[in-house]
Amino acid sequence: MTKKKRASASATATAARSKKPQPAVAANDAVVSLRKALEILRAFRPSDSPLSRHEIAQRTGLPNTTAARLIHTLLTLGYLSRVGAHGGYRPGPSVLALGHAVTEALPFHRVALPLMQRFAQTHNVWVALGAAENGQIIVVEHAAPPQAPDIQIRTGSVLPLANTALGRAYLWTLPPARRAEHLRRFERSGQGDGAKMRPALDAAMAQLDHSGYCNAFNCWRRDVLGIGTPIVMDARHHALLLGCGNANFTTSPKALAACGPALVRLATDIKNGLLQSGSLEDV
Amino acid sequence: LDAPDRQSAATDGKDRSIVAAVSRGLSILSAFSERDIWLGNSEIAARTRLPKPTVSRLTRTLSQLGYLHHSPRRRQYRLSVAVLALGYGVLGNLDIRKIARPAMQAFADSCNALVALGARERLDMIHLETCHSNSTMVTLRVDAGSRGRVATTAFGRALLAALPEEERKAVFEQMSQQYRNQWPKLKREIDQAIRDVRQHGFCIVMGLWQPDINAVAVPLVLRNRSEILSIGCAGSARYLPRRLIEKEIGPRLVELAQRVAAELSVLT
Repeated sequence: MTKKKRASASATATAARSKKPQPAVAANDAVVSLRKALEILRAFRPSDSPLSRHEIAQRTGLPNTTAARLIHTLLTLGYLSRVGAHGGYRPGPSVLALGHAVTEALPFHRVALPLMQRFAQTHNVWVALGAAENGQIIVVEHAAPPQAPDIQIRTGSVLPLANTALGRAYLWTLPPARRAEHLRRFERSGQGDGAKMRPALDAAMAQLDHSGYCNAFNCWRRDVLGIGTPIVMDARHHALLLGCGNANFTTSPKALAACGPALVRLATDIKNGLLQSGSLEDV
Repeated sequence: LDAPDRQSAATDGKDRSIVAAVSRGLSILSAFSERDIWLGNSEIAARTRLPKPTVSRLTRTLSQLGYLHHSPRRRQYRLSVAVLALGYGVLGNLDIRKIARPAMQAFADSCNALVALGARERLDMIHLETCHSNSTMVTLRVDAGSRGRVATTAFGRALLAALPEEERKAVFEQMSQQYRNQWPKLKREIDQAIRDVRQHGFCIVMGLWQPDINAVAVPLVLRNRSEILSIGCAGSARYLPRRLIEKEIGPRLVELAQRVAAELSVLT
């Protein structure tokens, strides 16, 4: 975030120094508008009811008038919908089309999802496959159990690193220096329960070392239990993360941890499926 | 939105440039589809009708922001997983999909067909929700999020019938430019579909979308016309012959739409 801001600030400075500043400045304005519009779409979370203009402005840190212009544009293009004539806003049909185009473009829908669905059925758990992106995990496919309450994890969910099973599995794949960098960031931002964060992460790393998966019990959301494991392809590819979980009143830590070895086997099956499909090239 | 009315001419200019910047950037993202997974700058330029230098600048920006992935080997781009964070995870919670789903699924099972809920995005229909019949092996491969055309599908035409006059005129104008010499014939068919919706509540499209596939659709107008969607039912001509659609399936689909609309208005 701060890096992006710095980048755009230096671009403005370069434009001001150049001989023909007009078009360069205009182009930079256009980039900024586009980036802000995309930030509005990122501001929505699954647990949200529709957001008002004011809430959108607050979450994105945009001035009210700028937010209003961008909301109007996104509304016209079908990326936002309005709930009722004077109601709030939520993502619109174009967002669905865009998401569909991504899941179809990636091999996970074809290769991983059927295996995840079988696992969800057998163990009655939610299953999520995630990819690390910019210090967060984005869920790229999810499978729902036959009977369990919704724990709000689905394709497109964005998860923090410090206190989710998928996030911890990702941290385990990183070289020590980069892991330490993330830990410092968590401490600065207060992510992951402050003083309890380091011991919890140390325990998760140790658990991944000896049994291949880690726990995240009642920490991301107070009432959700999760376990996670990495799918390490090779250095050229993003690490993928696989996890399963449930509400803490439908399963016990012990029962969920018993799924651990099966989850590690599922990760191997998905990895082999992806390698065999040959579609990992350029993923 | 009330804000733009009170703005000066200077900000109107600024508004136009913001609208242009955002819509260009988003049109680049929406150029990608399940058929066009990898696209190069010239292909994107051809699909979006934007000048190539504009496209190159925007694809570079979008990959810096993490929304496009560039393959140096292919010299092409594809959408990256970050696009999924643009509100996609929220849509699974849409009330309308949750509420409509059980009734749509029962309908799909009872007539061996696909039932889809659609919304319009310019000249495309986007499938918000699709329910496949559990009782047949063969079903149309259409998933939520995929696109169809407003002009040639039953659920596109049913939706046109419910649009306010002015909005429909604007859509027709865009269609005449898009379809050129096919437009007069399409316009006649669409006008007939609109008359059918007014008279019977539904319209039928036989074998146009795919041969041997018949479809029927009804508009779904929500909460004081705040949202106009449509529900369509499509399937093999064997299970959906015209007589059956006219006598039974069409009227039942009208009831289904009324029920879904009523349940939704109770909620708000």
